[in-house]
Amino acid sequence: MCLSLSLLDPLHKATKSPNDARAIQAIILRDMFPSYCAGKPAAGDPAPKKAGEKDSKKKRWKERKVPWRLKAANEYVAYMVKKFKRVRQYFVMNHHCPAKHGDLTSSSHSQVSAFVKALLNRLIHPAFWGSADNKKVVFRGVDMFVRLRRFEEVTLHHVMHGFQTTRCQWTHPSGTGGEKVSVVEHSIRTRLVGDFVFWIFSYLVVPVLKGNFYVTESIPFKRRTLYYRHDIWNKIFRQSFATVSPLFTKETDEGVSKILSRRKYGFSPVRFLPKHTGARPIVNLKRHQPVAEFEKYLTKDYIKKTYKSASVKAYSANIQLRNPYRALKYEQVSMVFAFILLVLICYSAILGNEGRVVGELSSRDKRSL
Amino acid sequence: MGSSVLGTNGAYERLKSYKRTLSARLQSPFKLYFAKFDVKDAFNMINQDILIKLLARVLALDEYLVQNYVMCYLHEGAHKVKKMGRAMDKGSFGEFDEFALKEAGVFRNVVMTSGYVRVIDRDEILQQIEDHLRNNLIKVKNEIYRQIVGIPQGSLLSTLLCWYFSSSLLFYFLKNAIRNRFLVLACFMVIWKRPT
Repeated sequence: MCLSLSLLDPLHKATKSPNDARAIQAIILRDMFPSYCAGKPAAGDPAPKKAGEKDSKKKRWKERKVPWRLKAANEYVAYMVKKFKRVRQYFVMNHHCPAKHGDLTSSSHSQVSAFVKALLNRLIHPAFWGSADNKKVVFRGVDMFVRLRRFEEVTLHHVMHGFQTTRCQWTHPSGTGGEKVSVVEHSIRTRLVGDFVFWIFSYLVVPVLKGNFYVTESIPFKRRTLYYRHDIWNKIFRQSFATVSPLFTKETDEGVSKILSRRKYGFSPVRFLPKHTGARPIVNLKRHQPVAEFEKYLTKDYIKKTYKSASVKAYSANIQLRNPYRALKYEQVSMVFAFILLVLICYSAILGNEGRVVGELSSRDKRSL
Repeated sequence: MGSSVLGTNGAYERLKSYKRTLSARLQSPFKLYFAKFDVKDAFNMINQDILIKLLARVLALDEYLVQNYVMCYLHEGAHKVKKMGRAMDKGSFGEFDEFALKEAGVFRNVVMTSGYVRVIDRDEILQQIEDHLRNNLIKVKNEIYRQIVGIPQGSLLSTLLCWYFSSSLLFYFLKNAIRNRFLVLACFMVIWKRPT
């Protein structure tokens, strides 16, 4: 959530402070074309700073001139900022992924991708795509992206398959298009278009999906991703937590610090995995928790003594419990052995000669019986 | 207990050997039917106090010796390095060569190196398990909750603890069954009914 909002930040900021529009556009451009903008002082750049003189980043970007090649792109970014102000994500989502009253099901992949495509259609200037076919290519990529299963990846190369770079006029503002260009020039243009498509996915599609949906895998569908609208997911979460809440009691801060000072692992985040009815809680005991999260409960001296530093991660609960596990595993073997003997006793009990087998048991097995 | 397995691999081994014996015995083609069911809230129904008392009886040795080792093996064409360890009786601690041979088991072409050896007190283990059971903290929306009923989900120990608990129930049942021969007969009639 946090990450997604920070990625959309430039666009959100643009809606709040229209005066800084130019600076924000510059930030978006820098995010969009890092390879072109990074480390390349533009003509209008202020002179290098003297020591001790602090210049705000925003001001520097405001003063920086837009690189000549990105002038057209800059206009399209301005278009996007303007459109972003007007578009109401919630209404678009409601249109494409409607929630029926009392219905707690996830939105289908086609609904979700239709929503994302509708947003992209509104935000991005038709000329930015280069051609309608190019748009179709990227939209196909969006379809693919939404339908990905957990742990699956999609590469930029895969998404860009069939994308006609030459149709993007904005990569060569001075040219007429269609002319023969050098290899270097061509590679620059391809790079720019690749950056643009990559930006759409990482700075627009992902934050929009995260901001509007809770994306999860589920028990019946295994790795298949399910998209729950946040309002629906909150209901499921509340209901599911209510069913397991009798097992838990709220712990006070003092209680937590008392527990944490006795052991070397902390607390575990819980998430809910949807099943046919409701959701099952999954507790991640494999997580290596950053010691910084203990600072609220433990004294600084104690943290320094046990963990050396607050910037490290504590071992997970499951790692701390390895030795008890091994000890129990060792005893398991003798337990199985004892069981077989017990079955033998039962068998002989039926036949009526109980005493014989019991007599053969060692003292250890008798104890475990 | 004798019939419970951990994971699908264990079940597969049993099934395979069972099928082999069956096909040796029955010449005619046969069908196997499987019933799968789930114990509802198995982890949550386990009583913490009883489990801790049970474990105190299960852990019989005063001290456990843990031999740590590193194993390197081929898995689907890629090298895998795994840190492992095995607890044992102090008396059975010997040469690493013998231990490695036994430990490698079905693996072929593995490299094993000896790690450190630790002796762990029984009380330390019990205390660790008890702390884990009684003070399992979870975080839900910035609030911390402590589990008061059942055993933790997702823990390394939980399947094993569940195994111990359910098998102790079976033990209890069978022990009483010895006193009551009628029950034993009923129980064995169920177990030994062969598919025809």
